[in-house]
Amino acid sequence: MSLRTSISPPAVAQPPIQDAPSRHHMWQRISPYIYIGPAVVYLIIFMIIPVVQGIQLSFTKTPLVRPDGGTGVGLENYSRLLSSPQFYNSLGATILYTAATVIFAVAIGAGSALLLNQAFKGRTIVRAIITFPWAVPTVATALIFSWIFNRSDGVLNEVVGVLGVGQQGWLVDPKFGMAAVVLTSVWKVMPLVMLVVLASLQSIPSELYEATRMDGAGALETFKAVTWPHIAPTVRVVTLLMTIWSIRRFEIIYLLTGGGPVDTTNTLVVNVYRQAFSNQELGRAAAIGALGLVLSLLVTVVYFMMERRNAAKEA
Amino acid sequence: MIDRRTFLGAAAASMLLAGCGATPGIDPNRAASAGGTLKFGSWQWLEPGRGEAMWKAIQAYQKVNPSAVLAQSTTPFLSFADKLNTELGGKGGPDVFVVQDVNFYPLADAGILAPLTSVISSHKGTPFNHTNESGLVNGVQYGITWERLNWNFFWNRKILDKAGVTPPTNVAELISAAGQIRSATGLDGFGVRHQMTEFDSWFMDFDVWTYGHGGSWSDGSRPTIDSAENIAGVEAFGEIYRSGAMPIGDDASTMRTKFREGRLGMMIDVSSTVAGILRSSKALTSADIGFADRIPLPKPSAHQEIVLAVNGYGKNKNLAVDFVGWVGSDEGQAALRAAMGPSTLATDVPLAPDYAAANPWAKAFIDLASESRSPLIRGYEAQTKAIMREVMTQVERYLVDGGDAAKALATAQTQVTQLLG
Repeated sequence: MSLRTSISPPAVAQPPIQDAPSRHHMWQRISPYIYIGPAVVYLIIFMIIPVVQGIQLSFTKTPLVRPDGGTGVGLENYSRLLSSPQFYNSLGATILYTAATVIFAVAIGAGSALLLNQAFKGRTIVRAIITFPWAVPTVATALIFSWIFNRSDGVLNEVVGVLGVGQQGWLVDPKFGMAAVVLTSVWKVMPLVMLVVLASLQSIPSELYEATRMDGAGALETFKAVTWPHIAPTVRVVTLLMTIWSIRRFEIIYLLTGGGPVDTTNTLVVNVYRQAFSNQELGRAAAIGALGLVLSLLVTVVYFMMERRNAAKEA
Repeated sequence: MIDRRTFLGAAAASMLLAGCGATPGIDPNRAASAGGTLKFGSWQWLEPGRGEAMWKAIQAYQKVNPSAVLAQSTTPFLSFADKLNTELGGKGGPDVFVVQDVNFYPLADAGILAPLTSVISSHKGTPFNHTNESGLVNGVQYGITWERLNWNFFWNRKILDKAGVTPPTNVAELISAAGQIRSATGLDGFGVRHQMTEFDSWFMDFDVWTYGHGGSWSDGSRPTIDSAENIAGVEAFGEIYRSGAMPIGDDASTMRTKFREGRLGMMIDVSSTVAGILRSSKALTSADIGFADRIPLPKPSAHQEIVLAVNGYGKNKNLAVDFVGWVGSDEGQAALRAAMGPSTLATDVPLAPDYAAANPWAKAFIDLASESRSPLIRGYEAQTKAIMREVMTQVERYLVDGGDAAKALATAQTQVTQLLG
């Protein structure tokens, strides 16, 4: 056996030289599909199929306890919904809740981020404290606020009592129900807005601030010329996310008011739950869900239209 | 010599017989020897003290049928019905379970429960009482009474004595007594559920007021939401709600805690509430509980019935049916009696003499079962919750906004009529 033979690798391990480019070419062609494959499979199984099935379900009369025993009713669920005042009440409650929650959460969150971006003693501790509500479990948040808002023993009535205001039914009076739910939601979600905007603020190069200072710009001019253009895309994204999350928020609303008082907080998601589990009408619940999906899609479409317009303006 | 055809025939016959032995018909006596694990679904296993006592009581079945193993399937009350319905909808769920009659009826009506005809036909000993009619749906027995909880009026004697109040016997006296307690002691006078966050229980509680005035939600063929009797019941509730002597905003759990701690004077609630309060209270003993023979309203009141049923999709259906038969037997009822306390059971098994002597209020609660009424709406049993959702929304509107009870119930009548198509 010659030396050459003894050190040569086995023939099978050495692909023919002329095959290498074609294998490489093939790998280049299929590798993107392999990388995105798991995500696509996940989306199909857990997103697309349930959405399609939900839409199918909305054209049937299906009881909860017989999900495979539905009968087709065409557009009846939709026509009944669209002719029902309760549906419009529910839609109105959803829009009001979402608008109020998003406006307050984004305004307070962004404002807090601007304040906490300044240098001051104890900044880290203050940041940690303000972030704390985001870490509290949602169910615990709802229970704590239900005690705070309790009419006979709640802390809030103790406080307003000192101010000379009588006992208020924060969770049982239709005048206050939505406000109480919005306040709780803002307390819970505002820290996320603050963290995201703060991260964006910290990515602004300090040279830009120095340049505006040298140009003699005041605080407001600096904000308009440097800060806002940098954080605006982040604020827009976080507003979109807050809007979609608010449209589909359930736990806080259901645990605090159950959709009351007098249906003032009966948002679409709470209504879906009522129809599906209390009334056991899966078809009608799916129809409400489908209309809620349209609402979320509308918000997303508006967002992307605004983004496109901004991009065109910048170009 | 056995030829091939004879052998195959004998083998097929043996297999058929073996198959029959493995899945017997619904015959409790035969099923008892089959054995296996029975998953028993209930929220009650989580009830402190009472759940453990119930679980211990039904272990006696394993002595009758040593090859059976009982296993708990536990879900908190608030999500129990939702989870059970979802599981059964997916052809899963526990083998045997307890469920409130308003949730039981739609399950039976949908045909997904196992019939218990053999339990009734083979029953011996103390006969099943009238409460078991709740388990009869479309002429078929799908459930037997696990327990019937009757609503009654009770109070803390110490608080009433301190406030110089005599126990009320009608709504006007109740409002007055609650106000006196508030003014004399600073404590809450009277507590009862009153808000939609507790809808699943409140709508049943609320029947106390409408039934108590002779009302019904239907006449069997059409809804009668806006009847004069129902309006009277809603107005009576409105008066006590607005009297200022009720802890508005408190949920049932908070009010029970207040009563247990001696911070609430009077309540209308079910029998198990009193038993639970006494089991965990340091401030109260049974002697401190004042009780009425009936709720201070003109007509008989409501009850909440918990039905024992068998999952039609269960793997051990026959064993489950056998277990239900045992629960209804004298032995099973005697075992459960001690654990259940002041509830009405499937048969008229009496309270243990020492328990009855120590808890004189218990018999008053049990006796109410003879004329109490179900929350199920006659003719619309499966839609009870959907109908009551509309009704209670309008009742809530009347309570918080004021106005006219008749108008509120007229609106509910229109909405329910639309709902039912």
